[in-house]
This record gives sequence, structure tokens and C-alpha cells, in this order.
Amino acid sequence: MIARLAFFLLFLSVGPAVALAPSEQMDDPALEARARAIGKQLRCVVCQNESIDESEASLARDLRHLVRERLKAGDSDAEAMDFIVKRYGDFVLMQPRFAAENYVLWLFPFTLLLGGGLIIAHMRRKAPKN
Amino acid sequence: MKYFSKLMPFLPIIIFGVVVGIFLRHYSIGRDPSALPSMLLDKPAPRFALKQLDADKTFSEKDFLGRVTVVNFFASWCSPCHIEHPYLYGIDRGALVLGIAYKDSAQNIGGYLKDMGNPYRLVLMDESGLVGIDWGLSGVPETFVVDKGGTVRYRYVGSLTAERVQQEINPLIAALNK
Repeated sequence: MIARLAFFLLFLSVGPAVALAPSEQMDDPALEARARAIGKQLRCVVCQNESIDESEASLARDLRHLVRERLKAGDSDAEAMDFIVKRYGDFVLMQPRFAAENYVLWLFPFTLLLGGGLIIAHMRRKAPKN
Repeated sequence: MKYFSKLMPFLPIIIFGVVVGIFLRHYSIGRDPSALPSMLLDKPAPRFALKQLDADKTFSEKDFLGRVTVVNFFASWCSPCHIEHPYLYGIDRGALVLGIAYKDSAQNIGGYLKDMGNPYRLVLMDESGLVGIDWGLSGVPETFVVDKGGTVRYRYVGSLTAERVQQEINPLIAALNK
């Protein structure tokens, strides 16, 4: 019984895997929170389905470090993100931007809805009334 | 108008076709979805100041102005770099072949070049990897061609092959030297 309990407790003692090492964290909790939030929005280019906040890749660690350096130097969140985007492109944003090359993607559903609506309205007007 | 109403039933199919065409062209055909576009193409090479391997000299991007330069990021710990190593000798020497050792020690790089041979005119050390990030590196090896004015004209991610060097890099070097 005790062995079983100990075995069970062993599982409880396993924390969630966190890529971020304690030594990477900044002393200022507010800055650290901002850095974590930014890290979650940036894609790791080595392991493309993870954010740099989650990734164990060494490049992700470097980028986390870089984001913290930028924040320490007084960058705003947007400036720190732009710093990375300038080097790696819009692709590193986990959330796509409303940018020129994406207009088709963003606007197509609405265009379709509007166009379809107009066609239906037109047809209804032309249809013989019963 | 008569034609239009005859066309009507096919309209959804036509629209669908057009959309598929647009998407294929922009997002799929001939593009490896995991291959990343380079932000540097046709932009000035990033600034850097790096120490030369085994020498007390520092070089910056300005030192390469006026020469077509092939910048090859590599490391002794990277096996794709070992694979591409022999093909680096095939690069047209009309360009200066610059090796930047990414996240590696002078000792390891020295040993690597001694064992394998040194295809570089000059080797600079990026021990922290920060210069690599400025170049948008996602790993090693990566190869860039920079023109005489310091503008990046070409980027290749991964191991170079003999074909890649002969068919893409050398013709570009020749064109940039004209």
C-alpha cells in the first residue's frame, strides 16, 4: 500500500515541462511577464509548430534571450517583436497579420458572402411572383 | 444577359476554380511549406563585427564591400556542413568565400578545418550565434551571396550540392562580377 502510494506521489511530483530555464528569467516580474507573452506569440523557426516560449531548441533559447535584452533596453512589446520579425519575417508570428499578401485570405469570405447576397437579391427580383 | 443565366449554374464551380488557382499559386506550388522566405534578399547585409579565427583581427560587413562575397555559416558539430564541405571548393573564386563559424569554439573549428581542409578565404567566429540571428539563420549550414555593394542576392538553407553550386551560385557570381 505504501509502495503504491509512493508510486502515485512520484507522478504528482512531476511538474509540467517548461522550456524556459530559471536562469533565463529576468529579475523584474513585470518585464518577465511581458517577455513570456511575447515569446508565446513568436514561432520557433526550427520546430515550426512550437512558440519560442515552449521550444527547447537552442535557437529558441537565443531568441528568448534576445527578446529579454530588447525589453531591458527599453523596447516596447511591439518593438521587441518587430526586432525578430525583421530578421525572420511575418512567418514567425503565431497569429498572422492583416498584411497585403494575406488580403485574399482575410477578405475572401466576406466578398463571397456579399457577392452571393447580391446575386440572390438580383435573382429574387427577377423571378416571377406567384 | 441570356448567356449570363446559362452560365449561372456553373458560377460556383468557376469561382471555386479561380480561388483554388490563386491559393495554389500563392501558397503551394513549388514551395516547400517549411522553407522560410528570407527577409534579407535584395536588402543590405546585416552589420557585424566578428573576430577572425586564430587572429586578433576584427572584420565588419564594410570590409567586404567591392567584392562579391559568399557567406557560408557552418559549424564543426553540424553534420550537413560536413556533407557540403567538398562542394565549397567548387565555388567560383571570383567571389571571396567567407566562412562564419556559428556557435562553435576556435579550437573545434581549427581542428575541423585541419582535418577536412579549409575552403574559406577567411573564417570569422560567431560564438554567441547573435550574428546568425541577424542574418535570419534557422540553422547551419546556410549560404548567402552578397554583391559588391553589400546587398544580399541569394540565400540557400541546407547543404550545398555540386549542382547547386554550378547551376545557381557560380552563374550568379559571374553575373555580379560583370
